[in-house]
Order: sequence, then structure tokens, then C-alpha cells
Amino acid sequence: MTADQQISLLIEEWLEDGPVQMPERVVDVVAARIARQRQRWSWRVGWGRSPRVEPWMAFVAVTALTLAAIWAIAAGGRGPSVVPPVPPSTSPSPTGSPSPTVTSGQIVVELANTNIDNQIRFVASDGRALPLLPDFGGHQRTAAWRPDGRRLAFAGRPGNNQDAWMHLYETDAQGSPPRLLSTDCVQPACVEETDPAYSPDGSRLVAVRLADIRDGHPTRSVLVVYDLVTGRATEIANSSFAYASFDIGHPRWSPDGRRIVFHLVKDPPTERRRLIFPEPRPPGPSSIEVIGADGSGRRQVTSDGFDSGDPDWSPDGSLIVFGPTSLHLWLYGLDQSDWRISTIHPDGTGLNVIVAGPNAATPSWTANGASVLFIQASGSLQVIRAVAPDGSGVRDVAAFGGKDIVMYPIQQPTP
Amino acid sequence: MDRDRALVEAAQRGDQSAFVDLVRSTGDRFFALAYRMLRDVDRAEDALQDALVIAWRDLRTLRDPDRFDAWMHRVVTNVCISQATRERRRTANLRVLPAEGPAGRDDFVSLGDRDQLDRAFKRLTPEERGVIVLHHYAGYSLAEIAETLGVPAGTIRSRLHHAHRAMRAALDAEARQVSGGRSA
Repeated sequence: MTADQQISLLIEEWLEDGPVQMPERVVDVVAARIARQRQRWSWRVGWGRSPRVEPWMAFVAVTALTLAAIWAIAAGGRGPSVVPPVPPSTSPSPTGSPSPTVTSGQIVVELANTNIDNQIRFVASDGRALPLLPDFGGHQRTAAWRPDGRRLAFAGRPGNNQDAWMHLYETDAQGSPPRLLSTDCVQPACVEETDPAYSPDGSRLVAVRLADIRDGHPTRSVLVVYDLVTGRATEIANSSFAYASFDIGHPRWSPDGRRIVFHLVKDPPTERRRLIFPEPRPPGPSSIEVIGADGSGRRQVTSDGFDSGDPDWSPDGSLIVFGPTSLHLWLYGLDQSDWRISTIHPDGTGLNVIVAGPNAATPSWTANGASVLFIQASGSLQVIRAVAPDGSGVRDVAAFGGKDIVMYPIQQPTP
Repeated sequence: MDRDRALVEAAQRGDQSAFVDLVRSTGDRFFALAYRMLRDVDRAEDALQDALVIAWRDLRTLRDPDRFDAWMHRVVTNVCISQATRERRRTANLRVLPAEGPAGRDDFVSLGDRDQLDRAFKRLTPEERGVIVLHHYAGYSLAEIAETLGVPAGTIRSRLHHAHRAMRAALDAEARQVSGGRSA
């Protein structure tokens, strides 16, 4: 018997053990859940292949929704800089209806749930978080608006290519078919690109690149800056650690376009693809760092002892806001009592905790710099909140129920 | 089978009670599959609930009611993969869960082996776990797994190879430990 046959036999024997009977309560729970769940028609299927919904029906539906959206915009006005508080949504899941248009200044979030890969969603006027890119499928992460609000960059892996690494794409506020931005990413030198952020003038894009694949795994993670005119990328910073997951990330530009802030996790617990089975210890220290857009003048802004990640530079350039590391968010969920939102000057002075927690994460500045958006767990709800840069005036923007994790709220700059 | 087909067709027409009957009729085998991927009764139950709700929602996209089982295997597997991928808090304190029910067959798979297989299995990627369970428990061929999961056959083969290698390495390590302990 070969070694392979031997292990196969062992595994088969081992798998035979264990329960084979579904607990009866599953039937009751499912019956209750589907009573509230409408069946999906054929929205996920191409029109040509499965014409269950006639084109005229779609036209009527889209027209009606467009009129409804126009009415909603007219009724709502432009008002405050963030969408007004809405009652808690029972679930941020889509209903299968066509998505209403994202209006100016509305908020996009990243949603992770147990059924699907991460998905970029926008907060609709009725408080639901609806898919921005329902046809893209796959995995959608790390979205960032272009400063004029007309484009949204994100990292994605299309649903029709399950084994692909993520690359950068660009869409718009209406979720138009994404355009590939990773035009200078070819293996083995470049494996995956994530965490895009547009420069203030929209001509460049900074991103995190996993580089130099060996034995199927990248060996480095680096920051690159894309020239969006030529499509060429330039490496500006190396994590300088043996490749591991989430060690360098969330780069954001200074408003003058000369520097970039990012976070660094030192000694992450495990390599990529093993992230879900980390050793039973927290990741190592994390810090916020700043580097010149040309790769010069790199230096640490926060101390190692301060759990820090997901930085964002204020529109006036005077402050950097940051939260806990996104690695913690992935590993442990949004329930860490010591999670807080802080600001610090780019020179490392003036550390100020503006939201003492608990459970606060993934901050971002609104385009006018008047508020910081962040996510905070509150009982069974996850709430998008806004706070003034000095920590005053915390207010709810939208709230979500359910098990899904809502993170990274970012407000569309007004075009 | 004919009864299941009739239930699938009725459920596709929106008959909720038919779908509930279908769950009663077929749920055990999907639960068994979910448990073997997640190695935890509660998580398997959660995953199965989610998979069944997704199945209800998307049932009209199933063109051949006779393929319900295979289709459900895909839904359950994908939900389990997603759940394992998104697993957060519990992964911080991994522990080996004892297999439930009568142990049996210990003359072939020793308790030590069982522990090591548990540990090694939990260190596989969710996708590799899916391949292991579909192949060694549900009895799918590699081509059938590829078709079910919508992944190239070569990828399935490499996932299975890697999973076998990892589990074999775990057993070898255990054997070395035992033999070292004996000689000490």
C-alpha cells in the first residue's frame, strides 16, 4: 500500500466518526428564516441565459426605482455631511432587488459575512447596505474613493475566477463594470495587489503588493505607487519582514500628495492562507509609519506598544486618525473592549484618543474634514458613527443587525 | 428520490412547507458533511442553517431538480469554507474537539492518530478541508469535486495532494514523538 493510499484510508476511517443526524431545531429555525426570505429570481444569472424576467419587466422596475431614487434625493436634500441617522436595519443583506443609485456623499462599507466573500456595499437611503457590484461577485475589499468622488478603487477577485489572487479595480458610484487598475502586476514579481488609495490629484495610486512568488507563496509585501497615466508601478517601501499576512497595509496620502501613511504589523501570527488558524497568541506590535511618496524619509509615528492600524490623513494635513489593526478585526471580530480611535500629528506628537472604545475600529475622514466615520459594536448592533476630530459630538449614522461584520465606512466626496 | 424531486419542484414554485419537508428528508446528510468540515456541532448547525436559507433563496436557479443533492453539497461546502475563513474568535484558542458518538475502529485509527488528524485537519485551508471531506467522506471523484465547486480539476488535485501531505506529516510527527518518548 502506498503512503497516499494509507493516509487516504486513515482519513476515511477518521471521517466516519461524528454525528450524522441533523438537530431537529434546524428545521424550525430554517422554517422561520425562510418565512422572511423571498426567493431570488434570476438576478444572478445573465439575461440571455435565463430570461425568467422579461426585459420589459426590468425596464419598468428600473424606471420605477430611478423615479423613486430621484424623489428620495429631492425629498432628502443635501443637508449634513453624512447621511442622517436611520433606524437599525434587521439585516444588511441584499433582497435581490436592483440597487438604487448611490447618491453624492453617501457611504460605502466593506461587509464580511459567513455566506459569501467580502463585498463592497453602499448605505442606501432606507438604511440597508446594498451591493455596489452584484455582478462582480467573488471577493471585494479595501475600497477608496478618488478625491473627486467620481471613481472608487478596490481590490477584488472576480467570482468567476476563484483561485485568482486579488488585483486592483476601479468602478464608479453607480457600480459600473470595473476596470482593471493592476496593469503592472505580473507573476512572479507581482502576485497580488490590495489596499488602493488615490493621490489627491487622482493621477497616482498607492497600493500594497504581495511580491516575488516562490513555491506558490509571495515572499514580500511592499508599497507601490502606480502612475495612472502610464500604468507603471514603482516600489517605495518593503515590509522588511519575511512574508506574512497583513503586515503592511492601508496606505493613505497626505493632502499635498508628498507623503504616505500606512500601518505595519510586526510579527503577524501566521502566513497567508493560514490566517484562520493562527497560533494562540496575538500578533506582534503594530505601528503607524509615514514615508515620502518617492520612498524617502520613512519613519515611525506611533510607538510599538500602541495597537494601531488603518490610518487616514486629515484633509487639512494636520492629523492622522487611526484605529486598531485590521488584523485584529479579522481574527477576533468587532468586540474588543480596548479598541479605540485616536489622532496624532504626522510628526508623532499630540496623541489623542478621540473615541475611547469599546469596540471602535476602521476610522476614515469625511471629505470636508469635519468628522471621522468609524464602526462601533453596540450590543447586537454594528453602528457607523461620526465624531468630530476633537472627540466631541459622537452621533449615529447607520446601524445594522445580524451576524455580518460591517467595516471601513468611507464617505463619497461630493463631485 | 422521486419524493425529493417533487419536493424540490414544489419548493421552486415557492412552496415553503415543501422546502421544510425537503429539509427534514435530506438535512441529515448535509449536516454530516458540514460537521466533518467544521469539526464542531454548533458551527455545523449554524452553517447548515445558513446554507439552507441560501438554498431556499436560490432554489429557482437550480435547473435540474435531480441534481439537488450535488447542488446542496456545493452550497454547504461553500458556506462551510466561508464560515471557516471568517472564523475569528474561536480560532484564537484552538482546541481539539473530541469526536462525538462511539469511537469505534480504534484498532485502525488510534486515539493519538485521531488527535493528530484533528489538529492537522484544522490547519488545512478551508478549501482543502472541503476537498478532503467531499472526496473521502462524500465519495466524490476529483472531477466531480471540480464540477461541484466550479474549480479547475488541477486545483482540486493539488489541494488534495497538499492536504494529504500535511496530514501525513502530522502523523509522522506524532509517531516520532511517541518513539522518542518510549526511548527516553
